[in-house]
Amino acid sequence: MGIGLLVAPAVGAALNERPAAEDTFQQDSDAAQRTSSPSAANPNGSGIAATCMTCHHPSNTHLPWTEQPSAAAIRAQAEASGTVMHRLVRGLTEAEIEAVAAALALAPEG
Amino acid sequence: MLSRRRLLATAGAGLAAPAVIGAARPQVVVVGGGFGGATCARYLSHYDPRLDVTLIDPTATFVSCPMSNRVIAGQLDMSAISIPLDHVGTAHVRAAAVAVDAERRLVSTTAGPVPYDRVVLAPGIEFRYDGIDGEPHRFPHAWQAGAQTIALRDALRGMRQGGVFAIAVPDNPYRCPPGPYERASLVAQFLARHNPRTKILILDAKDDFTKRTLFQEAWQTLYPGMIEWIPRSDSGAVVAAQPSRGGTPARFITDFDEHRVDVGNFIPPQRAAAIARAFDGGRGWCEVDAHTFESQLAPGVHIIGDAINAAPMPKSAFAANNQAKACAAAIVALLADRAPPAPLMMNTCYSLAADDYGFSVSGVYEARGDAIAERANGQSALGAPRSTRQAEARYAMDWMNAITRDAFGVGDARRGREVASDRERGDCAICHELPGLDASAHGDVGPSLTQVGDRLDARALRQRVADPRRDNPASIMPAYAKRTGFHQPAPGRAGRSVLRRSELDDLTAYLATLRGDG
Repeated sequence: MGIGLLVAPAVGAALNERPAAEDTFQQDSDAAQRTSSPSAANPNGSGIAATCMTCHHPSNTHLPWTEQPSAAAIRAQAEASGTVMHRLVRGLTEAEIEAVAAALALAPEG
Repeated sequence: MLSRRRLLATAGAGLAAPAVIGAARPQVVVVGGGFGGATCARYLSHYDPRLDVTLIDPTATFVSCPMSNRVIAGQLDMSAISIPLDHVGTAHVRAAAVAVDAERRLVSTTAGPVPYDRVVLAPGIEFRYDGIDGEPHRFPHAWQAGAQTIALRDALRGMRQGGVFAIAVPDNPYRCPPGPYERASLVAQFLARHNPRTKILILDAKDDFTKRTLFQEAWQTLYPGMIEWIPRSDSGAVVAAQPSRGGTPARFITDFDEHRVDVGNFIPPQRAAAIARAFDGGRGWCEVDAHTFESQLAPGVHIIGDAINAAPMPKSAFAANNQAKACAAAIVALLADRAPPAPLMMNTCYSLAADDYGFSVSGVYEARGDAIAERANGQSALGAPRSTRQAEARYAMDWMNAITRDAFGVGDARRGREVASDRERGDCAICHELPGLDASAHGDVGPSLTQVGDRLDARALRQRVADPRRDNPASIMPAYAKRTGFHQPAPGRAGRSVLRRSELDDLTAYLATLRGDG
């Protein structure tokens, strides 16, 4: 199981070549509002999983489809500073990460 | 491990017929075969295979705006952005949709009326030349890909040495916010090689643009002194455009300046395409329910993509694709009298400053009350090493591959052949003759597939593999894409289809190649 849902290991390392500059990132400042949002309250795992297909496909070379990533592997992307997945996963709640991991385990391509 | 043959043996005997056979199937009509419309049609069928989904689009081939700047810059051929619609997998009415009668639930088309239970409009944009003096329409916009893309590419190839290429950029909102700046960048890459004394002018009707610092860093690095961006506050907004006439050169005119241009690219202000404007309330863009994408003015009419006001989501192919999936899930729920799931959508816009230099901006979006709200956003770092830019350029091309396959179902015939012969996946030879196999190596329960591409089109092929009993309840062939309705599925198989969607796409592509003339 690869850790990178988005980033293949080799190019992931390249994206993390970030000496001083960080990618700019802004998050909703109202965390309470965020966690009480309809999606966070009732996460739609298969719906979120469907968003993965926009970038990832089994025929891709650099953004491959990763088999059944665990919630921990998806969560780890939030710490992978400098990557697209860093920006996207940090926009998900814990419940949504768990839900998308479960959905991908059941139906690997949504 | 479950043997493929065991699975087939149990599936053939135990598959339940679809519950709706004999009953009227809900009719969902999708207008527009672009990234939004094709995605929605595909996901409607995927989420509920019992629906009758019809795509209305006058063309057989969609031409993609994403990556069209690479065509203009001579890096790709038109074939790279021309995507056939015959693999979407739904009925396709090759006609232009003219109007929607929301009361009678009919779409009027040039081929006659098409009834619907719910309709999805994904018509894209049209241009507004009002308020611009002169003859701006005589300059290529290349903002709807196709003939205009070729016209601009050819104009650049024929431009005089040392000439001026000018792009007039509208104020927000418009389709593909970073597109004009990517275009300037890729044209600069082309001209730096073929016409190095050229000047590129970006005349802008606004004072800022997405990923501005990243673009400007790239211009400084890759094309120093070649690209000049003139913002609105420096008289960048073009108010008139005059093509060359007699001995007078073409000109882009702003409030205080007049720019001679050798090749002009006028990108006009935009609004929702005509068929959606009945639902725009006079605003130019349609307002929709953020949970279902149903029009706020017309029940049963859903609108997605560039035609809606989805701010803060940009008008991008990625956004349209994600809205389409949320809309499809909502429609399936509404038709079943269930509450629609809460949508969570994403967007990433990759931009290329050169064929090997990319960067991106991303966002996460949800429905909050009546509106779409942004949860998080971010963009690539300034000052990143060249290897990072090269990696993001590769990601951009993989993104294009993925979204094209996701939206249009375009498969890979070579991979499909592997699926067909793989005993753990398609294993078509268990029942059918396939090319290249002698009689002892294949079954004869089903008809030969050696020329099946002559008998069935891509849609019919996909349907036969996905769920043959949908249209023929007597079929004994297993349903390779069904996920529910199985009698006593093997452990670990509940809720899973035999083939994944990408495998179904690939297998369909392969079967379509099996022709007598092949």
